[in-house]
Formats: sequence, structure tokens, C-alpha cells
Amino acid sequence: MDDADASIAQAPVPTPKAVRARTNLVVQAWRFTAINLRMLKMVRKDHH
Amino acid sequence: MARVVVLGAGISGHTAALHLRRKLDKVHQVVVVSPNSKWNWIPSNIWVGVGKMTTAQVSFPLAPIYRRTGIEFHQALGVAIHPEGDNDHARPYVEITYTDPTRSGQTDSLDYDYLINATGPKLNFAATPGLGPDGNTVSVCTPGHAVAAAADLAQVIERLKQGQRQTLVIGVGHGTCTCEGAAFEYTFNVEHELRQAGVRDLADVVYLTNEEALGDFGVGGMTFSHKGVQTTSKTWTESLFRERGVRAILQAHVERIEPGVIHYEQLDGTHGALPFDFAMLLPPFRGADLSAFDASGSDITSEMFAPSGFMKVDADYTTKPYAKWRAEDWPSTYRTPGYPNVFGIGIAFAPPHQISQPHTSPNGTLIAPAPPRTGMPSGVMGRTVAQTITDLVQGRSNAHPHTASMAAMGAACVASAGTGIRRGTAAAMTMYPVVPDYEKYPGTGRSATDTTGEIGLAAHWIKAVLHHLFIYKAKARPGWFLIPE
Repeated sequence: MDDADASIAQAPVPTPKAVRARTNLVVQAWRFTAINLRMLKMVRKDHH
Repeated sequence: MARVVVLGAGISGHTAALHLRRKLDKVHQVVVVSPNSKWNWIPSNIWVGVGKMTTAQVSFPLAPIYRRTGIEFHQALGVAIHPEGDNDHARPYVEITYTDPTRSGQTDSLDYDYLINATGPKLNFAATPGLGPDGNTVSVCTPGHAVAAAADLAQVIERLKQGQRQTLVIGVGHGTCTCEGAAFEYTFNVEHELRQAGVRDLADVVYLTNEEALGDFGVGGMTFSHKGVQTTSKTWTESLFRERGVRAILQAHVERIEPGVIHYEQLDGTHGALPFDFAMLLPPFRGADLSAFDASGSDITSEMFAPSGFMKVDADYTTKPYAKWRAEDWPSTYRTPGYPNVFGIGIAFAPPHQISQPHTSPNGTLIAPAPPRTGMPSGVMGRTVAQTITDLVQGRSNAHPHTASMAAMGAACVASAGTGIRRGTAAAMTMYPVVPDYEKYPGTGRSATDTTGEIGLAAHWIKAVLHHLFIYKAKARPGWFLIPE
């Protein structure tokens, strides 16, 4: 195992709850809206 | 009457051409020269590369769009720029060679009032012996390459189903490559497909990269704010690699690829050999092979272009150490020095230096990710230069040119980690600015509130929506200009 793989082995892993949230339709519907709003903010900065 | 010639019909060139045609009166001409007959939404090629999309879903013919919008189209390769004209041409002009099958090989010249060089990258597979579809690896750089990659991947999955262990290597094929984000996406899409096929346990998936650390992405990494906690893109990306069981080899320059074996050097000067059954390695980029000549016919290519073949614009190209790099080194108007009616945008402009810190191995090998300038920044540059040219054509010659420095521009990036309306995932990242500005944002160089990262199904939905939205926009359908770049 080289340095990269050793570092990966020490990385935090998501909890089962976090993994479930990543595909939970209700949670993700909200995140879809939130991420889009965040991206629109970025677009507004670029289109000034 | 003004004539604007756009070399290249990728994201930046096509965006510039459409905005120019919309803003300029019909008395003015907008001309596009592209060696390709089709427009390609390159970010979705990774899905072609795992067999989840067809080439028809990620590309479409340009000619009908240009016919409908009133843009003159030449399917041809830009060969040389004569920004001062010459004895036979009173006006500046470009030489082109047709790739259109009906007149392939014929040459012509197009004079211009304004020229936009948006020729994108030359895929420099030749930089690494054995790299690319003509060598021993596959690619997802074009739809055709991606189809071939999907066919190879299907064979690997078949062998896995027969119980044969397989090693799949995905990454970049040279120490100076860019587009690590695309390699990251393809890695996790392949890993996702292996799981979907029920053969993940017999497959070793290895990410081979020139990045100093995971999550560098050629932008020096990022510091994210999420749920009130700051974390680095390194930790965030390593977490995904651990979760999905993907190995990584970092700080690598691929030296050559023999059938079934990748030979590489790492930053510490050591050499390694990595056996593989399937390898998708992206090539380094060069500028298109354009030449330039002055009025007397003298070759001025080295004045207009960097040695990498990319066009010099209003950047500070002074050689200076990493510690001296500044945000203001980066161009903002994309005008070529000496020729204010010539612009270089998208991948075609020469960046002043990398964004990630470059390194050299004890053997003198440069291992330095090149700065990404695709996608959203490319589109913004195209629109910005179109606005500047429109002002100039409409007589607002005293107006300041519009600006779009990557050091004052944000980017939204959605990196797919597996497709599927219920099972897909992607990493949604925003960063502001793309090029860190350590004077404005001490510490990380970027806004702590506008630099974010998040993994989930929602990000996959966004990538899927963007696929359709940008193809709609590129087809110049009603209201296309309301869709931001």
C-alpha cells in the first residue's frame, strides 16, 4: 500500500444514515432545490 | 458591414457565434469554421463510455442550426492567421482547409474584421508512447472514442462474469494533463456499472493521476464549507474513494504504455509498472496547429502563440515562481497583444501558468496538472467576447471591453459518480473564483461561502437536467439565450 492508499484508508466514511440520505427522494428533492439555488448564485456572479 | 470569423464550434466558439448572431444586425456576417460537422456535449461522453448513452444523444449536426440562425458555416480546419493581410490581401484573413467530404482537402481564405480563436485542444496522444485508441488504451474525449471504450468495458464485464479477475485503470496519460475531473467521473461511473453488473468483487479499480492529492482537480484543491464545517476536497474525495473501494496512484507521469502494462514515474523519481486489463487514460492537450504570418509573410507564430500551441492573450506571461503567482496574471478580455481584433477563448487561450502547484521529479520530469478551462468558464468567455465585439461593431469603440477573468469567475461543476434516476450519484461542486485570489480571500484563496461540495442523487439529477438544457441551448431553440452559460 503506497501513501495514497494509506491516506484513503484513513479517510472518514459516511455513516449509514448519511448514505441513505444521499438517495432518499425527499431529502434529495430538497437538495436539488438547494444546489440549484447555489449554482444560480454562481451564475449571477458570472453574468454581472 | 463587419465580418466576424469564429474558428472552432465547441462550447466557447459556438456560444460566441450564437450570441453574435443574435446581437448583430443581419447586415453583418458571422462565420464559423470547424473541422467537425457535429457539436458535442462533451461532459456526457462519460455516459457514452459506459454504454448508457448513444452518440446521437450527446451530439448533433451543426449545419442545420447555422442555416436556421443565419450563420455561415465552413466545415474546415483553420490553418494560418494573417492578422495584417499581405501583398494579395488588403484585409486580415485566415487560411482554411476543408474537411467537408464534398470538398475535402480544398483550401480557401476568409477575410475578417474580428477573429475569435476557439479551436479547443488538440488531443496529444502522441506525447506518451502507446497512449490512446491507436495505441493500447481507450479514451472518452470524443463520442467515437467513448463508444469504443464502452465496447471494451463490456468485454471486461463479460470476463468478470466468467470469474476472471480484472484490473481497470482510469486516469490521465501524462504528467501535464488536465481534465482530471472527467477521469474522476469516468472512474466512478465504471465502478458503478461494475456494481450494477454484480461483478465488483472481482475487479480492481485504480485511479492514476498527476494530481498532488486527490481532490486537486487541477485547481489546487478546494476548501469546502458544508453544514458549518470546513473540509478539504482532499478529505472529501478520499472519503468517496474509501467508500467505493477505489485505489489511487498520485503524482504520476505516464511514460509509456505497452499492451497490458502502464509504465509511470512518480514525483519522488521512482518508476512503476501497472498491469491492466482495461485502461482509459486522457491525453494531454496542445493548441491547434495554427500558424501566423505578418504582412511581409514572416512567420509570427511564436509571437501569437505559446510553445504549447495555445494563443497568447492579455495575460501576464512573465516566468515567475509559484509564490509570485497573482490572480491578475490571468487574462480578462482575451484580446491578443498587438491585434485587438483577434481573441483567444476557451481551451485555445494560453494560461499564464498552472493553478495547481507544479512539481518536478528528481529526474527532471514535470508533473503539473494543466489548468482546466472547459465548461462554464468557456461559455462565459464566449459570451463575453461576443459582447465586446458587438460593442465594437455597433460603434461603441470607446466602450471598455467586457471582461471574464477566471480569477473573478466562479464555476459550478457536477461530477457524475454513477448514472440512474434512483441509484445515480454525483458530486456537485461550486468554487469562487476558479483561480484563487489570495489577496482577496486570504488563506484558501476562495470564498468560504461560495466554494461548496456535496454528494448525492440530487447532483445526478442536476447533471442530467444540464445535459438536456445545454443541448437545447446549443440547438438555439426558442429562448436559448435565457439559459446561462
